[in-house]
Amino acid sequence: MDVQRLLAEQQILVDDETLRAVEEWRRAWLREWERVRAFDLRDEDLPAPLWCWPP
Amino acid sequence: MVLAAVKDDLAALATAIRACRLSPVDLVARCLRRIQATEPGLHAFIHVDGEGALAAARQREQEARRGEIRGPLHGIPIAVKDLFDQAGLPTTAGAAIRRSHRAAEHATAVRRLLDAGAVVIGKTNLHEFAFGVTSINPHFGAVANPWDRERIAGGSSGGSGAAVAAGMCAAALGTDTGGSIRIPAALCGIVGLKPTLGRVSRHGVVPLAWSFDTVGPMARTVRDAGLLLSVLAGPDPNDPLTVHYGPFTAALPAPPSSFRVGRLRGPLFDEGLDDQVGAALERACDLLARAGGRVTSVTVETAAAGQAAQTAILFAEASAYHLRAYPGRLAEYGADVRELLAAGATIPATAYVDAQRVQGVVVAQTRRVLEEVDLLICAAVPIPAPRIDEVDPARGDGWRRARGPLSRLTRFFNLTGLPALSLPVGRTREGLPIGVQLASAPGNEARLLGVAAVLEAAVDWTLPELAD
Repeated sequence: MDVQRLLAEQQILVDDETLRAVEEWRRAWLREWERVRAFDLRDEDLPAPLWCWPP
Repeated sequence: MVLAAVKDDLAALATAIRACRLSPVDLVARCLRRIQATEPGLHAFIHVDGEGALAAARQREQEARRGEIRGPLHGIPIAVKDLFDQAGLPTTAGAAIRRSHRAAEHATAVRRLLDAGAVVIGKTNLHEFAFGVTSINPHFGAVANPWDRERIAGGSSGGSGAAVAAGMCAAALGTDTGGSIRIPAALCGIVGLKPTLGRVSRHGVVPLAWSFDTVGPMARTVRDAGLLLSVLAGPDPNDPLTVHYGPFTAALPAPPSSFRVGRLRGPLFDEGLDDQVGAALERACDLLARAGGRVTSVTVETAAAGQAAQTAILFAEASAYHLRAYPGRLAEYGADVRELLAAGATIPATAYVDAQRVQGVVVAQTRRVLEEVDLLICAAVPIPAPRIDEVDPARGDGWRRARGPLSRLTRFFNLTGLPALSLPVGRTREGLPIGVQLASAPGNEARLLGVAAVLEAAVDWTLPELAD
């Protein structure tokens, strides 16, 4: 999704320099997120706060 | 040269004050002189409460003469990260938009310090809103490392780390969401303890990310960290997370005669380690083995994926808090924090949920590892302290490259909620401190501190007299 629109929808106004930096951050984060996307989550893997959080 | 105001550990200071051999007024005055001499180059404090501290010290002194001792920190000067409320003082959180804030009541952690007799000497500088690991603060100055003023002290509790290392106070309070106690502790050559999530109340502390925010001590020695934890820990009705753990009573645990240490291995823990940091970690493992530890290699297969999950949870929560607490004011933040908060708002809700599911898997795997060993060990920070000019957001984008490595090894213990401690174990060729991290099972700070004390004794680390 377009970062500018995503921020605007949340009424977050940033200057052009910050916007470019956020776009770059998001590209890097999506690369990192691939590790999670590739993760073999099973149906029974519940969010931590529902069963083991706080530890 | 104004010498470090504090050289003895907390127990020795408390004993001397109780016996009226040491005057709290003299001790606080020495700290204030040390602060006056060193602060211009360090930027460790945002607010020094000289008058308030001296008035409190006079009271503690009179009480000591009457034999009325409030607790184990009676008359001892402590610095508090400026993220904690102390009634009547500003809590800036290192942010320009909170300059005019005045706290109406004490944070629970501050109240517990005061009830134990401590004298709060001032509020320490930090990375703006604790959202960063350099403590280069555009509003209150860059906290310098007392070992080399051209280098960062680490963050976000950089002021607390620098103040303890430079002998400006006896100990300090910090907070840790992704390494903010342990990173500055490692880079400044002191002990930093992130307790189990839920051990110490966060009431009255400006939040960064609720899932991980943890309050803990920064001190000269392991024994001091244990004593402070015994003061700080315990249930607080104002922080529901604290109901899971009782008070911490094993302030000075006896060193165990035998223990099993798991050295964390795998890409997350092995890659990108500076050679000198790697050598220091090897030496620490050898010393633990010689002291009766059985050191084996262990892996948490999901650790690397956990890093991405921790980022998603931390950033989404930080953005959610700030966009509601200070709507429309992003332009008033420093450039780096502004960017990170806007970035966090782009994380989808589905990613936040998936991140929490991955967190559960990582927690479960780590629990299984901790059934085989008593403690985990890895480096604290994989690189020595970078130069300020290399990572100052006002001078380029070096901060973006440094952010990942600086917090790489600490964040795992926020994701898993384990108690983790950074301990100095040596110095680089340039003379900069190197720390290692030890961690134990949730709620087992006693074992963690016990083994850390064994390593501390074997390393024979003494905080030297650092220049003004």
